[in-house]
Amino acid sequence: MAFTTRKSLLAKVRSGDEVSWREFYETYKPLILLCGGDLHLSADEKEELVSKVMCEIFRKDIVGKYDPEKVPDDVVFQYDPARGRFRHFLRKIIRNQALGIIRQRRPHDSLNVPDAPEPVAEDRWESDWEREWRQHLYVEALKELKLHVDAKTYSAFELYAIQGRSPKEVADFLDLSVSSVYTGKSRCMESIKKIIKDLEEQ
Amino acid sequence: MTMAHCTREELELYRGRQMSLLKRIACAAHLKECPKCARLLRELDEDDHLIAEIRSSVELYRNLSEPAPAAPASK
Repeated sequence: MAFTTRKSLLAKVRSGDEVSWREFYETYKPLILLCGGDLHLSADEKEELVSKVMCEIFRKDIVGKYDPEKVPDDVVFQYDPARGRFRHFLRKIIRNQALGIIRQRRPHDSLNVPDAPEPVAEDRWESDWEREWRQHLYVEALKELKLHVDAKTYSAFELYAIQGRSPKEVADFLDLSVSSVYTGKSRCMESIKKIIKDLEEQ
Repeated sequence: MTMAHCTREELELYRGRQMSLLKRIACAAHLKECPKCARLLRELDEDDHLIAEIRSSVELYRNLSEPAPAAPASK
């Protein structure tokens, strides 16, 4: 599937386009917070994880120049697709930064206790990450869908499928027939499945 | 009873019990006989699972999302 119109952030990152700090921050902060939760970080530590991951990703642009929480909008990130999949790059940074925070919290555990267990086992983290990434992908795919179908079709899909309104209610609200609501849903499902597949493969 | 293959919209109406009783009976009879339409019905059920996952992801992110910090002038 070719993205010929505006792209979602994930599509832009994966195709090596420049993305702004603000857009990146707002898109990936929830994913990083969720990963921090999976790694049993406290609320403060999760916020610290967001800052550290963002600093690592934007290192050359922001370290020593800006407070990570107060970065101007014109700072951009550009991922080189030749480095491999962005999801693997991000996963590694999140894991490493989280482990750094945990080590900082309990330095004696890793230094003085030879058989201290990993805070979160690698295989558990892997499955948690897959779940978090998939959720992130769905959210991005929905944004992408909005760019690919007409406004009324998207509204019908959002009201019916995402907000759980009844087909009759949606039809009345948008001045459509119930059958048209289902037709729109069918079109959106076909599109979003293609988008998800495409985002997974890039 | 014979009938043409069901469209997705007809199957949605069937699933949602929004068909007349007679149409519903005809559709149910057709689904017993027609593997193609039965498969389409299963696909719609699978779509429900995907929709549920998308919906829960959107809700989760809606709860977590906050606006980015204000961006003052650089140092």
